Amino acid sequence: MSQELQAAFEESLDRVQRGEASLDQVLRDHPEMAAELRELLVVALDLQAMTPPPMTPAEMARGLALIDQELQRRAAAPPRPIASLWDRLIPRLPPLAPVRLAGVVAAVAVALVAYGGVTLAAVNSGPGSALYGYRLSLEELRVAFVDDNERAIIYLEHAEARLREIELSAPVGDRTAVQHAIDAYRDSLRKGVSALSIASAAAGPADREDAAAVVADFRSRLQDHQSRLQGLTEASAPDVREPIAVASQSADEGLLDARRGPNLALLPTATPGVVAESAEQPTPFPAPAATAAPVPPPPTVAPSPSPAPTAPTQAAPEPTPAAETPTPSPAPTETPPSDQVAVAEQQTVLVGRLDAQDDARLLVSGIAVRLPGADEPAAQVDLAIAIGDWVQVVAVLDSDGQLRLVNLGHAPTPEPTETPNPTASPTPEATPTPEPTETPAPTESPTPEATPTPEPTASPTPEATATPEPTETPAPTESPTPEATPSPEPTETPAPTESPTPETTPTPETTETPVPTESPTPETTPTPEPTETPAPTESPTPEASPSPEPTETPAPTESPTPEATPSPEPTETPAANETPTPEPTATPEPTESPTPEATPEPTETPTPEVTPTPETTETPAPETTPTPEPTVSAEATPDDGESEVAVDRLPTLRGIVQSVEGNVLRVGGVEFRIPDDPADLVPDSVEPGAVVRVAYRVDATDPEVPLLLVVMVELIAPATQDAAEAGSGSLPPPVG
Amino acid sequence: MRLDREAFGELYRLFAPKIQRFIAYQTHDRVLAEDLTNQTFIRAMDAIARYEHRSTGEFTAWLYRIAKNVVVDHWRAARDTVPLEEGLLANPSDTLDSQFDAISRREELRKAMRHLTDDQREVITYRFALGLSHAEIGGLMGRNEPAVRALQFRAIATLRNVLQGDSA
Repeated sequence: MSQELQAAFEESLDRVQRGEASLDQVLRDHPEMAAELRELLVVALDLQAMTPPPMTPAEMARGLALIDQELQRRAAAPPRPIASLWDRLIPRLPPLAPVRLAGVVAAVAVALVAYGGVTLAAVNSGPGSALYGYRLSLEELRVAFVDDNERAIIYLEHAEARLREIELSAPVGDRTAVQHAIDAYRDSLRKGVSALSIASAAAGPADREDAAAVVADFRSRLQDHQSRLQGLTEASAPDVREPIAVASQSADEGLLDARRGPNLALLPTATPGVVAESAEQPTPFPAPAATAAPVPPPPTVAPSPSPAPTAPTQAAPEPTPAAETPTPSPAPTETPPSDQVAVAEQQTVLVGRLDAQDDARLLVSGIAVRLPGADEPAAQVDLAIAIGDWVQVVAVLDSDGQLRLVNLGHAPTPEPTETPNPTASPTPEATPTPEPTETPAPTESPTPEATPTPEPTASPTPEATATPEPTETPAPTESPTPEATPSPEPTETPAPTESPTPETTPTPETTETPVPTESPTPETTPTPEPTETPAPTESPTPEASPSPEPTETPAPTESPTPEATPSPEPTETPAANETPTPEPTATPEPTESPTPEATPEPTETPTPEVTPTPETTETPAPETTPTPEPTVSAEATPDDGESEVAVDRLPTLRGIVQSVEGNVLRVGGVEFRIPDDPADLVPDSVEPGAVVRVAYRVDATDPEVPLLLVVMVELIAPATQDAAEAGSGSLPPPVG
Repeated sequence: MRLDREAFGELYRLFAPKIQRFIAYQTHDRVLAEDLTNQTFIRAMDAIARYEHRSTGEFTAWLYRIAKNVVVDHWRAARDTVPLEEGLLANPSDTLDSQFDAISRREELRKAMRHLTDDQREVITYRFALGLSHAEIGGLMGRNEPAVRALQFRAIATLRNVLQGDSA
């Protein structure tokens, strides 16, 4: 049948059905297909004439009687047990079926029949009434016409109405009524939590305040439910106590769910726009350069440590010099870009995996951060953060020694953009790619200047001078070049271009945020070029460590420790820049392997990346890997690029050093253990008051008391006198 | 259980007439239609616990799907009786016009409907027994409007061919 015939058929049939034309008339309009069209139209009209007569009242009565009989028969059957877990609410629909059915009936009734006596009667029916389900369904109708935020609250209101019914029915021991009300209560609660999650996930920048308010309201009211149900459970007769306890559990679980997933961001009275705002100020990590030097005094947080500020101040000068060179502009400018949050020196910045969260705390890569209380400044949180994501936490140390959340966002992604920065200082390669134009060359040229930076860094400087370059193999390699080779570097740019690729790969891993996180750091490191370079300075350690690393390489897993040593210096700095890790290869052959190798390896890195994240979190080993980048790259790369990735994903914490005593390093309120292996893992320049970034791994050998093992320590700003005093004196005791 | 009876009774009153017509149009047997209509609601009773209500339209489609399955199951169970009817269809006599002139024409048409696919029969039923628009049918069947139109056209062409003795 041609489409033409079909079109003619439909048009003709419509006209005939509407009475606009007779069969003959429509056929005259299509003479070329009149015969065939006629046959089809006759069939269609005959089909229409076959419509059966409507259902008679007798048939309806018989049907209703049959249905009623069947329902009675089923009612006689033993009821199905009620599950107790929130997650089983849906499978456990039997008890909820009446509600669902009533919802359908009500919806249809309202749509087709409009309100009537039954509807009015239902409005006042209690849980023991036959019309109770109908009433619930009528309530349900409200929900269909509101947005998600309002829907969540309406469901909560429904749950509260049910709660009141439970409170009225329980004292008189009406178990049936209590059970009906509890079933409905749980159903409403489940829907409310679901609506809340949807609303939170869908909240745009403009809606965040509203969404946050709804979440806060939801939580506080659910907490009220908890207390009421708990009290009711204790005061009720034994026969209704159990179902009430189940309802109470639902409230607990509902409250828990309200704190998960998308809601997480809204939990702590979040202030919207975190990410966006972040761009305005320098980034903690990336910014180190910026932060340290220019921004030192971010007054943002009042926290105790004033020393930090001082440190920055000193750093500042450094930047300046850098500034002269092209570096300054590029690094800082770029650094802040996307998602970074301004951080005051006194603040502790933690980048790691969000392992857990409850109503009071977050657990990020083994470090607990408490949520702000109602009487404290609200934390800024990024929406859509979920358990398992790599996040960047900005926190302040309270007088009680606890880290309090100030800002929670996804860890910056080490995309090209950021890479650049880092690149800048260390590896020209990276830099080029991302911000080709920007400064690859210039940046690097500054690098040389960076050398000067070290100087400012002072303590680190000396070391830095020597080691840094080696450590950073990648960068270092270039460093030398830089000076003399501004132009050559450009040449290298191409290479960088490639490196980007690897980096890019990471990006996809999104999850891998970690990488970014660190990368930022490195980037920051770049900044350091000016200021932070010092950190690299620590490379001294590396120098020494190098040999050990190889040796340790054998035991990859453990290598962490040893590797750690090396990694610190090289790892981050280089890693960051050149995830490429090519360095790895280089490590052994430090300087040289740099660029070339790195590039290739990076490529591989991508694949494994995904897995990495988790590993990183849990297994410190990877971290080690990082350090030994060289080692890793060589071995790991071939097998699975993950190892390299892992390196980049080590959780890091940036903060003020509180103390270094024996094998315990306290930074920003967190206590780390310093492995014995790399003897010089913590440079002498890391003293109370200094601002450092610690890459660590979590040793969960003893789950009860997980240890945070230092993998690398990067000096961001040396301690000043004030800082030193404050660092050891005014800061509260560590949390870790 | 009073709750269930109340709610389900309301549901039956609202939908049974449509379901009965939907079934009767395909079975051409009023008593059978009544029986299958009740079977449809009993199946709905079993399945309502798994049904996630979103809209009245969706519920309607859900209920029609149950009815359709009840009819199909009936056809399958009664398959043995079909050959006899097909035997009658295999010998169409006279012209199409003369067939439609006689009362027996509709009987032939009903029998011809058994040559339709389930979807074709369903769309014909929605369209001609319940008078739904193509868009409404599309909503119930989860298809777009052009697809519904094409399905309807193919169904009618098939009926025409069967009635002409053309084994489509």
